[in-house]
Amino acid sequence: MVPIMVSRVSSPSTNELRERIQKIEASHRVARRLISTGFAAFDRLLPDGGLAGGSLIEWASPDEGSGAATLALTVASHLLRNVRRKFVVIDRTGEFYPPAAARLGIPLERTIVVRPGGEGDACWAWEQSLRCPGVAVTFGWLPSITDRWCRRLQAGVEVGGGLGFLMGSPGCSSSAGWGVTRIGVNALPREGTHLGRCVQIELARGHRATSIDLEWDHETSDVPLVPRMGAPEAEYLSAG
Amino acid sequence: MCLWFPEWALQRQNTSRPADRSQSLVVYAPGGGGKMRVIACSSGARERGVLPGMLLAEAQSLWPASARGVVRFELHDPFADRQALRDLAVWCQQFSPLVGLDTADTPDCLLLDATGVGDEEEFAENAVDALERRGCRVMSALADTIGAAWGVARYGMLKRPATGGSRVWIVPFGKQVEVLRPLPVEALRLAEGIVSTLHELNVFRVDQLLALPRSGLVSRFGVELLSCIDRAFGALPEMLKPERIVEPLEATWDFEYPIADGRLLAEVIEHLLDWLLAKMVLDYEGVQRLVCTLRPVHHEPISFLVELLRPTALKRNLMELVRLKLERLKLPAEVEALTVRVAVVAPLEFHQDEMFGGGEMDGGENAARELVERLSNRLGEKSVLRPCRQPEAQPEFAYSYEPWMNAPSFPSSAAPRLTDLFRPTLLKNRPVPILVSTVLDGSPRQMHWREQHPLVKQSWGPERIETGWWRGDDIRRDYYVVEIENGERFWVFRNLVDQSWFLHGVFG
Repeated sequence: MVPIMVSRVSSPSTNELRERIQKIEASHRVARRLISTGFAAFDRLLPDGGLAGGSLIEWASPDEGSGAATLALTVASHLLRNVRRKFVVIDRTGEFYPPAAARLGIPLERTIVVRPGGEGDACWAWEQSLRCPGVAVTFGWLPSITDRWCRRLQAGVEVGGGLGFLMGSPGCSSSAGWGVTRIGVNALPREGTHLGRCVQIELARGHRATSIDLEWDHETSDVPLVPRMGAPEAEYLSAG
Repeated sequence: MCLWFPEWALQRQNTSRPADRSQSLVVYAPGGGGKMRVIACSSGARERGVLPGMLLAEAQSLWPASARGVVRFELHDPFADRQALRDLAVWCQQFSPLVGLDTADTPDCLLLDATGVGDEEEFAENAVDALERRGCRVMSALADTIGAAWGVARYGMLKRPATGGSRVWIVPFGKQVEVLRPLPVEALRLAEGIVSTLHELNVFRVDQLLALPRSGLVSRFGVELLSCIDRAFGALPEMLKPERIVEPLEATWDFEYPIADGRLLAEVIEHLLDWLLAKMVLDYEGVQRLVCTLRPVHHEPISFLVELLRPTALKRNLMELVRLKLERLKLPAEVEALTVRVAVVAPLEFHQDEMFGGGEMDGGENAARELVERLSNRLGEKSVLRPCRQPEAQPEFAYSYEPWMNAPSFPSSAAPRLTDLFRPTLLKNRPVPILVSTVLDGSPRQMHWREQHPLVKQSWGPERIETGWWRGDDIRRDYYVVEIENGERFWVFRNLVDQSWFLHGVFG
């Protein structure tokens, strides 16, 4: 009787696969440039200590006047101070107000405002802008987009190496999906009569969410006051 | 012979729009600090008090708003000035077969080869006569060298000896040194930096410069200064680059049978572009505007325009834009012929390559320019805009947009202080009527909007804006920044005319 030789093909276990994926992710992360938001507390909240160049960030807010766009523009102005590249605004509604952006430190002479006619044109303009290495930040509002477009935008921003600031529509769930860093911004009532702004920033990390309260001064525009830490590392059930 | 057209930017504007000659004209350009400054103005504007170097805003304030029809403010367009001068050079070939432009970045002189003409004075007078009939103001000089003719035409005519009313200064053979000696050093076509250094050294005239030892000049200024001197005096030769009569850069393709396939059309356009670019490349010229005309069967021709911010001779760039246009083109029928015409040709700009990295040194400027071109060609140039702040109190007019394709490549003027006020990030296209309950001092207490009735937790204001009467729309508003219970902020105003309330902006 001839013994049957069973060749044992080693199939990778789940743990091995996880390790491999982590290695790939780690190497990818190192290659990306980290960009400070200009707020130390906000940087600490982010997984890598800053925004990763070549990524999409969705600034989600349930309310129209929450300050999400103001915060995003303040972060963009901080970034634009250190680079000579362009700032692109995809403004479908025509409501972007340049004097306010200028006051927040956005250099208007380097700002390209794009007013696309329809949704298709808007998505195309987003992709073109994200792919362009001459653009530091692409900022604007996007209606809910398909996964296909989301992947295209993701691929585009990785090619361009800039940042895409997608402003979520109030009352809508996430306009973008897979691969997008979602930063929740909620307005907080402010104590005192000063015009400074106070918001709660919430970042989903896997199934946990962490948040901080951030307060900054409108008079000096970009100099943050010492942030008030609100319920650090508070756990929430993540929506995604 | 050199023909100098004083204030060519002004002359070009006047000759291109003869019907508006009665208007005063002010030509402006970006000056130091990003501010717009007057660079040339007509005599009418001078009488009003405008002077070159004056701030544009200051010049504008010299006319009341109602008198704007009597004055034109035009942005300096060096490209159009050069093109108009080239056209004039071609026209001047009736006097001499070799006519060229001077080599300055913004040329304002024509150089004519006068070799072998019989009566030099008659030759020059004829040319000046004809140009004056065309409406040009011209000063001319004829000399052995280009440099001497240039210097005498620009700086010598005011100091010229009496020559019986002649409008041309003919420098006698071999006398260029003698004629140039009393003229200012600028007459030697020196760079601005060299001129200012010479002035610092109290050297203002050519004879003062010639008194300095040549060896010292080289060590202090390099060889450029000596080259200019030698070219003017004839010790170094100088070539004249003549303008050619440009054939229309156009190519047509007739199809054997009509087609409607976009890819085929693109391939044919690419083939025609190959041919056109090959004709241009020898002159270091590129395409800045391209017109493609398609002739559908039994229908009117359809044209589309491809525009670029800077000239290019790269087929890849041009075809990318052509394809964007073709994608959106709706053809009523199959195409039986197509024509590609280069509508605007411009000299190519060359930049030194970077040794390390790609695009970081220029801040990605080239990539951004290509982005603007792509977006503008597909979405339309009115959809790709550059914002500029305006010194207006009324929020709707506190900014303006200009197409990036038309925007000059310089930073906009510094921020007017008026717009540094606290403003919302989003401004409604039209103020939205809302209901607001107020407290005794008139500040808002509760908003009623979209079936919600949020209480106002805090408000800042009023900021009174009363303006716009000259636009025929008297604006009287009290603006408030309001923060509601959940921390959201809005910008509302009370119309002081009828006490109605509006939501105008959102601090999004």
